[in-house]
Amino acid sequence: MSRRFTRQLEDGPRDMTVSTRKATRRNPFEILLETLVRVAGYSAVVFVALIFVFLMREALPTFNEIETDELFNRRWYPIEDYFGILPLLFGSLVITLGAALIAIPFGLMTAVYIAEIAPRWLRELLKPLVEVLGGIPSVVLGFLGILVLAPLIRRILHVPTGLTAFTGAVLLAGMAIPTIVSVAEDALDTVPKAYRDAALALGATHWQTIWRVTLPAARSGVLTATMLGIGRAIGETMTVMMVTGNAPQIPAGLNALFMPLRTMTATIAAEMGEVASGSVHYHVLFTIGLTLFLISLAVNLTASAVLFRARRRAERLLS
Amino acid sequence: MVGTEIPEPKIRINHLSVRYEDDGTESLRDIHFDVPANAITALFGPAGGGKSTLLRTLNRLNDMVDVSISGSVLLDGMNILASSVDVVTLRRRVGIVFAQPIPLPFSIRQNISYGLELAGERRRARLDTAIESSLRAAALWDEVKDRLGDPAIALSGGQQQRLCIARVLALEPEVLMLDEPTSGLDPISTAKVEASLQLLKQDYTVVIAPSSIQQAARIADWAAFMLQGELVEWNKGEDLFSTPRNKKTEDYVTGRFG
Amino acid sequence: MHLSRYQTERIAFVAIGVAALLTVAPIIIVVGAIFVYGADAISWEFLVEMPRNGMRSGGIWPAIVGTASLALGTGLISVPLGLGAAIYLSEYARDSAWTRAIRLAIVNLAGIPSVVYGLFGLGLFVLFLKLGSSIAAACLTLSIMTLPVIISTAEEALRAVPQSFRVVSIGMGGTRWQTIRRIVLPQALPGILTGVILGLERAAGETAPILFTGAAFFLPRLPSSVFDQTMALPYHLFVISTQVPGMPIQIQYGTAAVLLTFVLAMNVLAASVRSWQRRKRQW
Repeated sequence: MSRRFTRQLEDGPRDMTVSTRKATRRNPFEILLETLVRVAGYSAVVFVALIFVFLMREALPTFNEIETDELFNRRWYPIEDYFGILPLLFGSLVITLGAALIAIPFGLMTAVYIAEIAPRWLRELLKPLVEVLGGIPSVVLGFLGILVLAPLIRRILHVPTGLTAFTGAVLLAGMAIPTIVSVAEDALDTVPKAYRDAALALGATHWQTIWRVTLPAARSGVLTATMLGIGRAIGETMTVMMVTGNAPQIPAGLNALFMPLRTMTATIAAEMGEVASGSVHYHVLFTIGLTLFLISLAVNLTASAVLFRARRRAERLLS
Repeated sequence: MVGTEIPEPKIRINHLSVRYEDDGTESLRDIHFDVPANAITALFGPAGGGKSTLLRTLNRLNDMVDVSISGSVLLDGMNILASSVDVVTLRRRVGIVFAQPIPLPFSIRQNISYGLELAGERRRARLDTAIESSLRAAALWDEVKDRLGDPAIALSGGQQQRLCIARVLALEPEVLMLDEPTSGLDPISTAKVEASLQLLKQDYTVVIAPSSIQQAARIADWAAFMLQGELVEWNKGEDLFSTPRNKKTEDYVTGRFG
Repeated sequence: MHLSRYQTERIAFVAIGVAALLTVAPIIIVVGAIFVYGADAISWEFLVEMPRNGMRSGGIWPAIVGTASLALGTGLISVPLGLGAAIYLSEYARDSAWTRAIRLAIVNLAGIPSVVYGLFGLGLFVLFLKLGSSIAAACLTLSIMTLPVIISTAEEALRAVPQSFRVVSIGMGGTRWQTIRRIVLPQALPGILTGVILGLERAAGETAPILFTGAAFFLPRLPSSVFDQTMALPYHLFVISTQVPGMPIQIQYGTAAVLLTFVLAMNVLAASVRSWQRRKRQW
C-alpha cells in the first residue's frame, strides 16, 4: 500500500500538459463542484497544519513548567517528577535500528526474489501473502509476541524475561517488511525491460543483471522502500508496548538488546490514560508526540527530496 | 501564403497564429484561408506542419492546453475564438475524429448516443433513430446492426474508426474534421471511409488532414499545403496538385522531400 | 578462491531464496496458528453474545459491533472527502506550488504514527470540540488517518483512465463534470473501491488512535449514540491479553482469530474487486 505514496511523491501532473482545466463552460453547478473538490484537496494541508497546531498547543506548556534540560535527564519516572526522555528516545532508536537490521536485508532480498527470480505462479502466490502480512493488525502481532515469541526467546537465550528489545525488533521487522517488499518490488518492476535485455545481450548472467543493472536502476525506489519501512517501525505503538517490557532504561552495552526497554510511542499509549489533563505529565507526553510528528515529517521530507532529485536525474537521462 | 478568397465560406481563418506556452513553440504562423461549405478541404504536408493544431483550434479543443492565440476564425461569420463563445455548442457544430480510433468503454449503441446524451437527449426513439442514421452514414450499419449491445472495443480497427465517425455524426454537426483518420487502417477500410466522406460532403463541410498525399489527391476538392506552421499554398485540389504555384509545394507533391 | 559467475549466481540465488522463505514462512505460521488455536473458541454464541464475568466468558458481540461501527463511521467521513480530493488532484489541479504542498501533506499524513493521531484526536475532538471520548471522536480521528490511503489509491485509479476518453468527451461538447461523471468515475470505480476497502481495513485494525478517543473495555451495554464510547476488537484483544488476570487463553485466541478473519476478508474482497476489474475492463 505504501507504494502509492511513492507515486504520490513522483507524480504531479508532469505529463498532464493536456488537462480539462479550462476547457469547458462555467455554469454555476460546475463551479460549485469544482469548489467542493478543491476544498477537499486542500483539506489535506489543513489537517497537517491542525495536527501540528494541536500538538503544539498541548506540548508548549511543558517549557513553562519544567526546565528544558530536565527533559534530557536520564530517568523517566513521572511519579517522582523525573521527565527525562532520553531513555525513551534511545529505546525507540535501538528498537528501530534492530528492526531495520532485520527488515532491510530480508525485505529487500524477498523483494528481489519476487520481482526478479520467482517463477510467475510463485509470484502470484507470494505477493498477496506479503500483503496479508501487511494487513495484520499490530495488536495481533503483539499478542503472538507475548504468547509465543517471548517465552521462546526466554528459553533459548536464557534471559530472565522474554519481553526484550530483541523481541520487539523482530516483531517490528515483521511489520516493516511488507512495506519494504511492496515498495521495492514495485520499483524493481518499473525498471524498463530494455535495461535487462541489454545486459543479457551483453552476456551477463541473471544474477549479474540483477546486481549490476536492475538494482542500481531501482535505487531511488529501493531507498524509499527502506525509509518508509523504517518510518513504519518508528511509529509502531501497540506491538512494542506489548512485548518490550516497558522499562524505561537507557541501553548500555550489547546485552541491552536482550533486556526490556520503552519506546516513545509505547510511553504515550501506556501513560496517557492515567494522566490528569493539564498536568505536567500530560504536557510532556504531548511533547513526545510532537517529537514523533517532527521525526516522521523529517523522514518524509527526506524521502520526497530523494525521489524528486532521482526523478529529475532520470528525466534528464531519458529525455 | 498564396491563395484566393471565396465568397461566403463556411469557415474563414484570418491571420491565425497559435503558440504553445509550455515549450514556447509557435505551432501556426499567420494562417489565412477559407474553408468552403459542402466540400472536402485537405490540409496536407509533412509532420510538424501544424495541421493537428489547426484542426484543434477550429473547435477550441486547444483550450485544454496552455496556448496563446492571435487572429480570428469565423464560422458562418461569427468569431469562434471570442471568450463569449459557448464552446460546448461549438464542439457540437464542429466535430472531430482523431487518428487513433478511440472507442469509449461502452457498447456500440452507447458510444453513438453518448454525444446526444451529453446534450440532454433522453428520448429512446430519438436516440435510436440517430444511432441508425449515423451508422448508415459512416457505412457501418450493416456490419453492426445485429450487435449494437456488444462492447465497442470488440470491433476491428477499421470498424472502430467508422464508429468514431458515426459518433460525431450523431450530433449532426455542420463541420466534420478528421485528423489522419485512416492511418492505422487497411486499404479496404480506408476505401470505405473515403467513400463515406464523398457522400458526407453533400451535407457537411469536411476538413481532413489526410494520412498520405495520395489520399489528399484522391478526395480533396480544396487543398492547403502547410509547412512548418505556415500556409504555403491553398487552391482547388486538382489545380494545386497538377499545377502548383509554389516551388515548395511542387517539390513536396512530386516527392522531392517529405 | 575465485568463484565463477555462475557459482556466484547460484550462491546469491540460494541466499535470496532462503531469505524469502524465512520471510514468508512465518506469515503462514502466524496466521495458521491463530486460526488453529482460535477455532476452538469460535462459535455462534461467541460472536453474538455479550461478554460475562469480566469478559472472561461469553461472547464478544459488542466489540464486533464497535469495530463495524467505527469502520462505517470512518468510511462515511473519509470516502467523500478523500474521493473529492482525488478528483481535484486528478482532474482539476495544475502543477503548482499549492498542489505540491497538497501532495506533501498527503505523504506526511500517511507517515504520522498512529499514536500521534490518538493524541491529536484527544486534543482536538475529545477536549477542544468537547465531543468527549466517543464514537464520533474516534471516527473523526480514524478518518483523517485513513484519508491519505483513500486519496492516493483513488487518484491512481482516476489517472489510470486513459486521457483519450476525456479528449473525446470534451471534443463532443461535454463539460468537465459530465466527463467525470459519465466516463472517468465509473471506469475508476473498482480501483477506488479497492482503496476504500484497504483503508477501512487498516482503520478497523488500529488501536492507538482510538485508545484515548473512544474505545473502552468495560461497557455494560452497546452504545446508544455516536457520543457514547464503544468496545472495539483490537483494543479488546490488547486488554484481555495484557491486563486481565485469569483470562482464558481460548478467548484470547478466539478474539484474535475474529479480528484476523475480518482483516483477511477485506483483503480477499479487495483482491476480488481488482481481478474483477481486470476482466471486465474495456480499455
